[in-house]
Amino acid sequence: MNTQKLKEVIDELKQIFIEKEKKAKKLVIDEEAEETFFELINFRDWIENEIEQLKQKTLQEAEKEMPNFKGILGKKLEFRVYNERAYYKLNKEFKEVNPEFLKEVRIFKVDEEKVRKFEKENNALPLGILKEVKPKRLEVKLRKNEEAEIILHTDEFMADGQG
Amino acid sequence: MRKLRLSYTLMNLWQMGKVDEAISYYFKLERKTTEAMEQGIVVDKLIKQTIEKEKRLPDFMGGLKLINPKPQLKIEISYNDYFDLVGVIDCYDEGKMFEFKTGKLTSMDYLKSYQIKLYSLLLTEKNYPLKEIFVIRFNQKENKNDWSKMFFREETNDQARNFIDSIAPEIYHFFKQKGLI
Repeated sequence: MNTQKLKEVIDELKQIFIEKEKKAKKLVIDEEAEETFFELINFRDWIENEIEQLKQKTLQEAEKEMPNFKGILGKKLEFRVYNERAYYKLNKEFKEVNPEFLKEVRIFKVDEEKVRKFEKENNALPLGILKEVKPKRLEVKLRKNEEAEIILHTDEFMADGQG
Repeated sequence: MRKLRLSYTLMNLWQMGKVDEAISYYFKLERKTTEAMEQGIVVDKLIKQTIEKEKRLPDFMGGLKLINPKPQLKIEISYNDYFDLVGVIDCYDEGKMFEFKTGKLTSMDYLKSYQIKLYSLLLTEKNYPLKEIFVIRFNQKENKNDWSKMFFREETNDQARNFIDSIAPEIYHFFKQKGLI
């Protein structure tokens, strides 16, 4: 398929998406809207999976040219190979781990309650503290597996600023 | 009017604020070498020998076969009325430029450096056809290599010119003021 043809197909897909969107966004009033959402998510997953496979194939081809390929600096994209790296983490099933293999790390967290009080009293934040507002959003999970990751969310600021 | 002879090393030292080292380098005065630099020189020699004798890269640099290699290709061009630009390309072979590196940084890191852009400018200004740019890095400590590549684009040369134009005039004025040129 030449580049022009691919562009045409992508344009067509965008058109299809616009059509599907009209139906999908009626989720709360149209029972069938969920199915449209599901179709779109499946399509996205398929594309992502195909691209992942393409990346693996590209890596194999590059290694045929010369071993230890590290990357290509393209005009629009940068491809970089990250080597396999083993790392260790705690097995949470075990309550006791030999302390010889552990090190203590001090973590500072913002005391939200105190900062909130300070902000209310001073109408300003303490020096070195930032405030971020998470926009109200809709998240979608596949129900096949309760452990599934969040796979879609919309970021939309609400007029009342609630997060 | 005497021109200033620009090289990547001179501009890089200047950019890092290492004025004394830049002057020492320019006038070929004795410079402190680190162990890593000396190891790099040995590796460079080995690569050059293998290319000349066998028309290929040594195995520790990937072993790629070459067609008509020109190792350590020194190029000097007149950049403008004030500057000449000089550089030594590690190897040029039929539209391919190779830069060999040793050390910790990956080939990809070096590929993004201005050295690569300056060398591509030198080659193309001298009318060497340039299609592909390779950086091959050998990590002596781990005895491993890696390679990265980019295709030549005219914008690479534009970036090289921007780099020169942003640094070289300052060096020129300094050298002129101090009576060094």
